[in-house]
Amino acid sequence: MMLRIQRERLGPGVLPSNREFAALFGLNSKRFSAAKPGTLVLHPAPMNRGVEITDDVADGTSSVVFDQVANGVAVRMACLERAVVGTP
Amino acid sequence: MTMIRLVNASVLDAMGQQIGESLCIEDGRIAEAAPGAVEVDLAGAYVVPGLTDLYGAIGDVKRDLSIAATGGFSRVVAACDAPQPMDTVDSVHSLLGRAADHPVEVLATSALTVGLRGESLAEIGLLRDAGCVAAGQGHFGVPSSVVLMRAMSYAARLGIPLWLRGMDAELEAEGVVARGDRAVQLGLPDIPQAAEEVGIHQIIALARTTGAQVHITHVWTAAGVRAIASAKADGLPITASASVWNLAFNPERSALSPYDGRLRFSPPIGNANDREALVNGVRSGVIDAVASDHALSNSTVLTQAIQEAEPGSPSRSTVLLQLVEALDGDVGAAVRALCGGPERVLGQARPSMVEGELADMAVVDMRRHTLVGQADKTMEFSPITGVSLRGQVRATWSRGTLVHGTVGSLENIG
Repeated sequence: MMLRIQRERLGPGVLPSNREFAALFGLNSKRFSAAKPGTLVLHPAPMNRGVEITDDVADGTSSVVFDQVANGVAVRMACLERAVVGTP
Repeated sequence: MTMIRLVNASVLDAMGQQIGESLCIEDGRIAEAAPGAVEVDLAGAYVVPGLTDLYGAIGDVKRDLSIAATGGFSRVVAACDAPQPMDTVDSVHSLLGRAADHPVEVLATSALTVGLRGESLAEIGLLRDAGCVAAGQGHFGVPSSVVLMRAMSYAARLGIPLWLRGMDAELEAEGVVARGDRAVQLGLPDIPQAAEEVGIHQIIALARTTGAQVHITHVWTAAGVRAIASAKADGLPITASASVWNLAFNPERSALSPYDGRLRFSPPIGNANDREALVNGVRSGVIDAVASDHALSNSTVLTQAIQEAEPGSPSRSTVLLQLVEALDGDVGAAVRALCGGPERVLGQARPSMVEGELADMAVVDMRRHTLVGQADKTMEFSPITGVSLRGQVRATWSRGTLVHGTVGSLENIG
């Protein structure tokens, strides 16, 4: 499960650059190759492609990112309905 | 290849302890004595492991490393702030590339913040991967405690050692000399010793909070030495070093005008109590290492007043001799501060003086004298030019190569 780096919330001194974050911590195909076979890649989006995740991993066969995003819409709708309308 | 056997010597290890009276070299390596070796009588001179200079500027690599060899150094750690901030991967590759073919080893340190401005983090992870052994701010501080704490947290996460100078930038402000009677007499803006004390306590507190591995550089005050001793006694794994100038140079004894630009140093030279505390700190081990803090030669200091001059002085060729003098002739303690101490700071103990290892050592004759500025012309821009220092580095081997002196000249030693 990857998450977007929220640089807008980070103050000075927390992170040097997107380039360094990508090089040291980003999920790329080389790092993902060390994962157990069958491992799925998740990310709630929006993605900073090339920062926390590379294109080939985000769009690769192990990625379920777009299913996760689509399901996330339905889950949020359900949560909002329950909060606003209440339990049926 | 001829085997050379250095005899009648005082062979010291990296901690300055005597480990023998003779040493053999064959094909650039320490060898076991064998029949047929050419004996060279050193008449009591010291044979010490190659010294490590923890920080100082490197400009012209070939010239500066040759000068380092004349001072007994076989390894030099390039400062992160001179001549330019070492804050890009390209700058590190450039330095290490230019130094790659020289027998004297060069290590690089990176800037902790972009442009050393203390505002935003430099890419210290990529700089580490490019070859930097630590990150720091050189002579500069990080004005914001928040930025410093975040930087220390990030460095701790990556396991990157930080070399930091204890300083409060606002207290140092435009100061030129250390606070005390001399500053008052000369009418020069001063820097209170408290500037360092505040800075060191800040670093120590944040090291405890973040777990960062810290080396405190450029210690110049008695209060700073006390703070470091206390932190070490509490078990905090910090190390500390001082510039040879702050420890061994007394501007009040200089023949130069007190307003001479060559007397400007950063940090400033402290008072007698400060210098004595540093000397005692080296003897006790509270100060792990002494560095040259070598500045590139700069002819403008000859015409500028102390207020206008850039701080610093060339020094790499004389560090050992200056330090031995400050330590009242204790060569062993000086070697420990320039060899074993730096190795501890770097976490890189080098096997030396051991059979089979590459010769990495210097021959130091304490019965001769060195006239400062005579052989190393860059010392003309230092405040001790023309001074006669006791001792002479007669030869230096680095990684198996004789980089200073000749074996033939050692025949006439003493």
